[in-house]
Amino acid sequence: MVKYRGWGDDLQSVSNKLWLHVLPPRLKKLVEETADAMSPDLEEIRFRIQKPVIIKRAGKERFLLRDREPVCAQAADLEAVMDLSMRGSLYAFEEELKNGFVTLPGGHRLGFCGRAVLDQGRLRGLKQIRFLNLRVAKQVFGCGDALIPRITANRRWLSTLVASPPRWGKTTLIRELVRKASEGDPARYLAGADVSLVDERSEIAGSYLGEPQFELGPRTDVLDGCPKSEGMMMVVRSMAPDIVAADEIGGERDMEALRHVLLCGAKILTTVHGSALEELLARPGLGDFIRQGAFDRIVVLRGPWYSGLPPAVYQGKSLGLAAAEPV
Amino acid sequence: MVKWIGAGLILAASGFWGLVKAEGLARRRAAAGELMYGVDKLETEILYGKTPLPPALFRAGSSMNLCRALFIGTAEALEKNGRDSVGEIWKNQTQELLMGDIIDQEMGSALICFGESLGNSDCQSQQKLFSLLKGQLRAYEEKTRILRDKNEKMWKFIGVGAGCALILLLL
Repeated sequence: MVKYRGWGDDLQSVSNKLWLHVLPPRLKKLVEETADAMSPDLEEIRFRIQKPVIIKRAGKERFLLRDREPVCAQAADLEAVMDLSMRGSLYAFEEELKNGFVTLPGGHRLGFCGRAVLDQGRLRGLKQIRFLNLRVAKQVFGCGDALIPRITANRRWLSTLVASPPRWGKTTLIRELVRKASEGDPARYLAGADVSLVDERSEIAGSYLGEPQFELGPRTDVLDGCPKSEGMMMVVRSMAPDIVAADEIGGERDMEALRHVLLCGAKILTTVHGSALEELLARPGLGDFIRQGAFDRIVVLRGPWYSGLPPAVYQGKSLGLAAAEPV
Repeated sequence: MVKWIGAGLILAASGFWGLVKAEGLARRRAAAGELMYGVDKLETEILYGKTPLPPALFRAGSSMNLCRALFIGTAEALEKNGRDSVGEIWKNQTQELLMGDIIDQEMGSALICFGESLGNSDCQSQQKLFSLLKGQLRAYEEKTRILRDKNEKMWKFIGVGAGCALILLLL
């Protein structure tokens, strides 16, 4: 557990070490001896064929060293990592291979690049995998606390869109918001809400064999591995949620599903890639959707979670009428 | 008196030997049935449930008796062991069955061959792998059934018969 100042004070970051099991013995031993790699705020470890292994932690990077010399990843290391991450079950990861990542026990993610395998012009998977990115998932308890008064009103949660560039912590933030919404917050007179989480890429809940690896509160139902557009329609019908949460919306079908959720009276909690409100408004589909007032609040992160910069929050309903209005 | 006690002991020992041989045939037949059931269950877990290999093996081997070690042992080794491949672990477990005389050499080779490709390809290829093994298992099941029907009684008779013959010779 590590404490730091970020989007609030005295946050507690919790991460497990289950990702260590996918490392072959040679690398595992070295990583275990590296303090940065064993830190709870480790972000990722990058392996590139014949290149030094890089450890990223809180925005800073270091090489993995042995006798003060950088350790380079070999083809056998990369193959061993792939084997261990799939535990001899390649058939179970066909879809993930097409998407370029595998979710590991503990909610961590192994992204990879290599040579594409095509079947009549369509991507079937990847082979000769030579580049890996082990992204370590963590739960930062309390990282949404400062934001909650700005995305709730009249003791209810508002439909909220969280935008940020990759690796700034929007998934960590939405995970925490889901937990808080589900648990409720007596100090703010917020009752616990029934949250249906549509976790298409197993990022928010980090589900492994259907079981969420992160704490998501007592009233959260997780639909894991289901396409967002279909999943959101499904949970509205089947689980009668107060809030529907999903990660990284984008396509026209996602907008259609979000419209359906709103028409059914549920609130939305979702994220999108983007670094500024203007950028979101300029996007076909999403821009119109925002202007129509679909979101009550739009949260734009202004820096990574460790930067300490508070996010900008805009009132979504006013965007169609006038310039963005900060809350 | 001593002669009669000796004769009784010879008869009991040879009879027991015959029973053991007959029991071996019955055990191989039962093991073949178990293997067929386990492979069927594993196929369902892999092709339809897309269950990762260790839990799929645990589920397939949970209600087994003679071949339990092959499935559960492989699953446990996969969970614990970060070094050996599925093929190597499966091969080691198959060799345990061979040493225990639960399967014959021919079936052992087929299982080792199956283990080398188990889990390391897409569903389509896994389906072909299972079809091949199930074909071999069906033939093996039939072979063990015929062998048991043909030889079970014979071994029991040989045991007692050989004992009697030995007694007559010695007396």
